[in-house]
Amino acid sequence: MKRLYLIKIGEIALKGGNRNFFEKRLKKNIKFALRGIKCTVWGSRGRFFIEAPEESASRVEDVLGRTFGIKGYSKVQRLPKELEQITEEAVRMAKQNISDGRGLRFKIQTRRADKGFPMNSYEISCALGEAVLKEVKGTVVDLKNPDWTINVEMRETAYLYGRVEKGPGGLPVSCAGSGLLLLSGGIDSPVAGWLMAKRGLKLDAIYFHTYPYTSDEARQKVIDLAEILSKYTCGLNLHIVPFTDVQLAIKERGFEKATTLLMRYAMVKIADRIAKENNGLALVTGEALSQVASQTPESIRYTGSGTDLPIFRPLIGMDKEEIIRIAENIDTYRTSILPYEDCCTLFAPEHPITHPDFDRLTAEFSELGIEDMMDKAADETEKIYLNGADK
Amino acid sequence: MKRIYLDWAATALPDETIVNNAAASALEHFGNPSSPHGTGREANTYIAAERLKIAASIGTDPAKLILTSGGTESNNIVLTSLLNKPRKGNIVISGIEHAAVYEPAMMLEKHGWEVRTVNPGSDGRITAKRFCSRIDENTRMAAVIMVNNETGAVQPVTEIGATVRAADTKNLIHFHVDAVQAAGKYPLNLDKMPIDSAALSSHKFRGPRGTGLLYLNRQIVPLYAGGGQEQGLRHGTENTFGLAGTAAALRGAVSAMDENLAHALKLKTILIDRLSEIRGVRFNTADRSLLLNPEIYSPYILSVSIKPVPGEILVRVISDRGFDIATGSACATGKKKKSRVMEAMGINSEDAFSTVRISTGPTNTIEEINRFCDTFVRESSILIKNLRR
Repeated sequence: MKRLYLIKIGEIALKGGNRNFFEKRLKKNIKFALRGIKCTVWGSRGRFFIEAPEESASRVEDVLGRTFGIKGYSKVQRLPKELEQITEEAVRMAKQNISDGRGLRFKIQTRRADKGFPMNSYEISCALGEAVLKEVKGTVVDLKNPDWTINVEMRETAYLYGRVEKGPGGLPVSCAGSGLLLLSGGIDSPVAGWLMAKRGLKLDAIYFHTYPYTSDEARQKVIDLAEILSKYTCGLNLHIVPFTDVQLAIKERGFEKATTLLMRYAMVKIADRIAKENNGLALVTGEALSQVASQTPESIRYTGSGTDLPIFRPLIGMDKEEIIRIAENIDTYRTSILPYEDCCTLFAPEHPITHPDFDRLTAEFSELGIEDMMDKAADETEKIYLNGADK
Repeated sequence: MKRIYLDWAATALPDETIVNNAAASALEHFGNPSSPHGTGREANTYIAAERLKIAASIGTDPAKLILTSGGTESNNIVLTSLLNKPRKGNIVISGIEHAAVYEPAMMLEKHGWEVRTVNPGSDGRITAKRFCSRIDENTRMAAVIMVNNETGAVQPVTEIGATVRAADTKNLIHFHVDAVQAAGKYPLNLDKMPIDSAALSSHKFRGPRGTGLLYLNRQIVPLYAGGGQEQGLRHGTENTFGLAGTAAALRGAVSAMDENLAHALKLKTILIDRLSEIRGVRFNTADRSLLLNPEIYSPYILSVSIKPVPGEILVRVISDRGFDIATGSACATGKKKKSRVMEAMGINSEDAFSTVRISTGPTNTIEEINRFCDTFVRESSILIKNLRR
């Protein structure tokens, strides 16, 4: 048995001349996420269909519910364009809704793309509505506030569907090129990555590992987070940078109160190199204004100056609660709050500066003499590919 | 190179001969001791004989020994039995109990029992006077750990027990001792001690995991019900393998007790001498002279704090060099919380988080300890330099 779904696409529908590019990308992403399942994806002009084996339904629905570019999807019935059969199916759906306890007030909504069909949309809706009223006792038509809706689309064939499940919206991953996410293991950075992927950015991630000051459990936690993200991003490369020597050199040689800023600057510089080597067009961070000392305007100006790539900071204006809500929705929160300390806390100064002098820190950093060490760290970076497969 | 194991307080190195002999016994005497047929009766005779050996090595008789799944269960049987009492009262415990006593006490608190904790001094030791000052006419149970698992501090349980008895004229108080870190290392003459019950765990003295003993010299009503084995206190078919292994391990440990203790003291002396080379080192209990007194601190356990290096980082680095040691307490590992024991001793957070525990056993050699000290001194000095503010 096969199951058919109708996929509604969101913002892509607004695109003009390059709409085809977005639609192709979406199809490709859906097929990637469903690899291993024998399914067919087709359609264009705002409507996509996917047909997959019945037994894969729950995986297909998971994928449709999380693939960027999809506004919503529905399970649909495909029927010949015969009014009698359509009516029969509409009545069956109505009875099902009643027995599921979904209320009595309903609406029939018809779209007629095939203008050759002898009845117009209004006439089709009326005919089906009348049949439902007659066959299913107690039902009432309510066009403004229905408990449920039966949708009919007359195209090359007739499609009937009920509830539309929500997709995440946004744009298909990869249509905006690729970026490198600075992933720390905390709550914020995975959310930042997810939000940018939602705008079509293909993501890689970079993590700075400070073994033995951070544990292998902390590293595994970041891999686990990257794995969750990879489901949204059609796979993801995680770059793990051995950062201990750089970190220790900054601590030993740097101005104590600026340790965190110098460290973040070094991270941005290494990320800049890794991003460029991997065709990255931007960096992504989880910074939110004023959340910590390194996230004041002056601090952000300084740490951001380690790259000439744009840095996307989608959380910049968000409250922690808003960020946590998204983290919970995308299932990264539970992993993010595992108690493995990252090195930031261990090496953080007791009284960090919040309004650094840009020129002073720039000069200070070049005096550290850690360029070779940073190059070595970048050279020794380990790359792990997470394929975004459902387990 | 072979790893050097210095975490015996978490679990002792199993003795191959003991494990193999216990397995052979379990195969040979496989019958269910409750079965009336020949094989069952034979198994019953066998476990009775093993039980007798155990009882003899800890100064009691088999009728007072309940075979359990370990220290945690032994402690729990005693503490949770209070839930069957119709009237609630209070329970007095030391602030340095292992989770196997502390957590059931917290559960009793949720059920309306008042839990009174008595903290030690910074030396990690509870005094009888202080402990007994918390006892009153509503006290129904008192519990003290005999040798603390984190610090090795030996508690004066005999003195505490005698003081409790003296105050308890109506004989209402059940006095329980968690002897998990003491069994096999200190002579236990249980019937002669002023205690009502004691918990033991086999794998701490080189016996099999999943086996423990409860010494019980006072009637209690347990929470669990079942087939009535172990005098109706711990139901379920007897663990022949565990019992055989426990008997052999306990007898072995008791017969080598003096020799092992002298050896442990030798190792501890080296550890203290060598670790004193580290700048800012702190032995978490008392001054050095007392640390080597086995009546006050277990010679098998050394708790040391190396500020400002977090214990978990030191354990990781030392582990990478081939040595197994522990942070404050293995059971609290993974939880980002200051150890309750360190807290009770009034040790500040930085010292508590910088604590590691080194615990030795009879197979550790002087050469191993010297190698460990070389590595520990070298690596902790590097870490101190890297992390000093």
